[in-house]
Amino acid sequence: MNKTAYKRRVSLQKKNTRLATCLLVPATLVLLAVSIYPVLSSLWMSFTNEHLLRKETNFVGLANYARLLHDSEFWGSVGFTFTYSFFVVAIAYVCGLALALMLNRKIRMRGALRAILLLPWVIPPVIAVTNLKWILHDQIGLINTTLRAWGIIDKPILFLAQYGLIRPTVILASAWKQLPFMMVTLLAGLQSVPTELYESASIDGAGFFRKLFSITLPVIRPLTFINTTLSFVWTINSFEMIWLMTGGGPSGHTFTVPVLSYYTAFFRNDMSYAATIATSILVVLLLLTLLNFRVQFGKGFEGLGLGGRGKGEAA
Amino acid sequence: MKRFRNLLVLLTAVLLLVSAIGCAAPAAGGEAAAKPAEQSAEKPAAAEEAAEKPELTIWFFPMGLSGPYDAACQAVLDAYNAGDHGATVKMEILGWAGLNERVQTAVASGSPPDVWIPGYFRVPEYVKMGEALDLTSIVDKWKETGDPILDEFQPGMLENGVFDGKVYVIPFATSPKTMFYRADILEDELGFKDLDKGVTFDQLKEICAAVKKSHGDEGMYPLGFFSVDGGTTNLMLNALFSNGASWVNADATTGGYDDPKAIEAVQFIKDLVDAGYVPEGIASYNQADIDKMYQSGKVAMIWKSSQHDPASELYKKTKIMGPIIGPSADKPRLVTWSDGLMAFQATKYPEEVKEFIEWFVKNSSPILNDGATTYCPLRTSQQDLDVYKTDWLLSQITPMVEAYTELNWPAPVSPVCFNQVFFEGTIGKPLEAILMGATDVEAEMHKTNEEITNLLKTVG
Repeated sequence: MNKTAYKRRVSLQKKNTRLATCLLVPATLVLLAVSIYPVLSSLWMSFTNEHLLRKETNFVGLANYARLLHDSEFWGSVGFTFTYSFFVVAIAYVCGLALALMLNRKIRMRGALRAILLLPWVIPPVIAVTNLKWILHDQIGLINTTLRAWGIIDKPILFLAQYGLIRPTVILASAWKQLPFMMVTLLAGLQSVPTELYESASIDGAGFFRKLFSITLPVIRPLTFINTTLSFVWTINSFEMIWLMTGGGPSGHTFTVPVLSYYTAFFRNDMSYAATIATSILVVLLLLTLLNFRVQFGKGFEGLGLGGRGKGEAA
Repeated sequence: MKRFRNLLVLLTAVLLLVSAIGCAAPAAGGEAAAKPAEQSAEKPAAAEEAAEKPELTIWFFPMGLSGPYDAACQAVLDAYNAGDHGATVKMEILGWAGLNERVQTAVASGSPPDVWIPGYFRVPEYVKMGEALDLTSIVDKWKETGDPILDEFQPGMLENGVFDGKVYVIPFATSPKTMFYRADILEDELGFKDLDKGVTFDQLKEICAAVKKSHGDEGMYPLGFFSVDGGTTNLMLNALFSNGASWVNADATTGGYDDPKAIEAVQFIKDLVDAGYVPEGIASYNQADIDKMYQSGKVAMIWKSSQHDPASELYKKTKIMGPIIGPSADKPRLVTWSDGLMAFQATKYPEEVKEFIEWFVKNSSPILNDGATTYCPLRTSQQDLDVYKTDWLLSQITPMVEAYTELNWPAPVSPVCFNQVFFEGTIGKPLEAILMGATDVEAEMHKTNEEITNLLKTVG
């Protein structure tokens, strides 16, 4: 490369860098304003005693975090948050995988089925929850009236009015909402599994489950990990499904950490304590996100000591 | 290609311009267009004058049917804006969804409206925050000039807005909670009479039993109410007040749930639940659920807020029951949620705000009369408005004025923590637990009593 060409290339690179920087500035500013600033502000608030009923706000150090350690309501909500998130992701994964396996086959109406199964994801949560509540209604809901008409039950099932059922109901509803995401991503993963592997396994006499556990699941394991981690983070952070279905009730029975934080801020006016609750869950989410990043862009499964195999080793 | 691009840019610009003009059109454009032509000549001068005046904002709650209510509110403000006043006022009608969050966020960020019409129970919190504007000068002026309006307010209502010797809220209107019932079933078919005179706990049980016997097989339940979105709080207050008990004691220092009268009232509700007089899943019902149940003929009575539904055929067969009266009641009581005019300290124009509030209190009757609201009057002179004689619903509730009992009863004013106990649903917790299957009424009442007492001590 001659000197002039080299100079021109360097100049072009500089121009590109400048343009890239200019293009990034607006998005960065928006991100700082709507995302980073609130996080930092919330973090700072958690070290103060800001309360809407108090005219002065003072720095109180770690007092709010100390209060958090002895707050049974908070720990109860942490427990339910993790239970809720675990079951939502697990159910969505298992059902999503089953549907993805079905849609990965050459079946009739595959396109239409894909579109229909995507619906829960597309429907806005408010509409979805309103409809779900009607479907689950004890007197005029579709499920109860159908089961009664068929003589399967005498008394209605109280999905949202019985302590033993209310938590499973919100878990199932949230899993239903999240299922299409799992299904679509897993379907993409399944389509990348080399068909030769299945052909070889078939020649060796492997059945459906043998192929599933020895070929499919190992090959899509990295995707599974990323998928479930991301879903777990989203579910921990999710607010609208529980808020719309139960409002955290009855008597805090379905409080997740985000709902408790919201409740503390807007109904108890305790802004600092709400920020402390939000910050505590932020730490967990950050750790999960870091883990996900490390798998996605960094060391892979081996680096994490998770015992995964590289691409192409599954066979 | 270049020509096409230029055309596209031009089209976009035109669209933006059209949108901007559309957005800038006045909200009450229809009314403005209907005004006589001669007024339009005066408009430039009036607009110029209006532009110099400060603009105040008032927030209304959606207390009437959308359409007539919006128009009635706007008409009152138009009348104010057309007069010789120190400010102009624009309105915003809030929706019920996320209302508390909206208000708290506005207050916390220092951008509340100038004026709003909240429930009395909300005001003490804003007084404690230092956010409420002192309106004492309005009342002082009325006293100095011997204004007859002072004698028109329902007894105790003006005093109900006084905190630390200052007036922070001026009475506007009230909303009693009542029992709606299917007159065709209870009166015509089952023969119950004089239900508007009041119904005792035993009579109510008797009515429930009769409805269940005659219509239970068709899947009809005798009684309904709503539980979520503050429903159990509503029901709890209705039950307590019916039996001469309350959620708070007379000096607002402890909860009122250890009172045997309160326990008796809740036990009464539990008896109704246990007897199968309410739908099994009622613990999860919101207002829309129970309305739908009533309209589909699945419940014969609903105990809740007043509601207009002129479109429904069923409401033509509906009547309002008199107060429910428990065995320990001192007198018949109907829970009333009163609203008043309050202003925020953050306003830039406190004097204009006070002038507007005074004007509004005296001139806002058209909202009650024409707004298809469920508001009952808090002033004696307003009882003569046409709507209180002709409206099927309000004409039945208004005569029960003797039974109206404010939420803070027997405390002289609402405690500061009421806003929190209401929105958190603390008041209704024992009923919530019972509807979810709890059996020990006393234990549930005691638990919640401690919670309320603690809030009264810590928050006020």
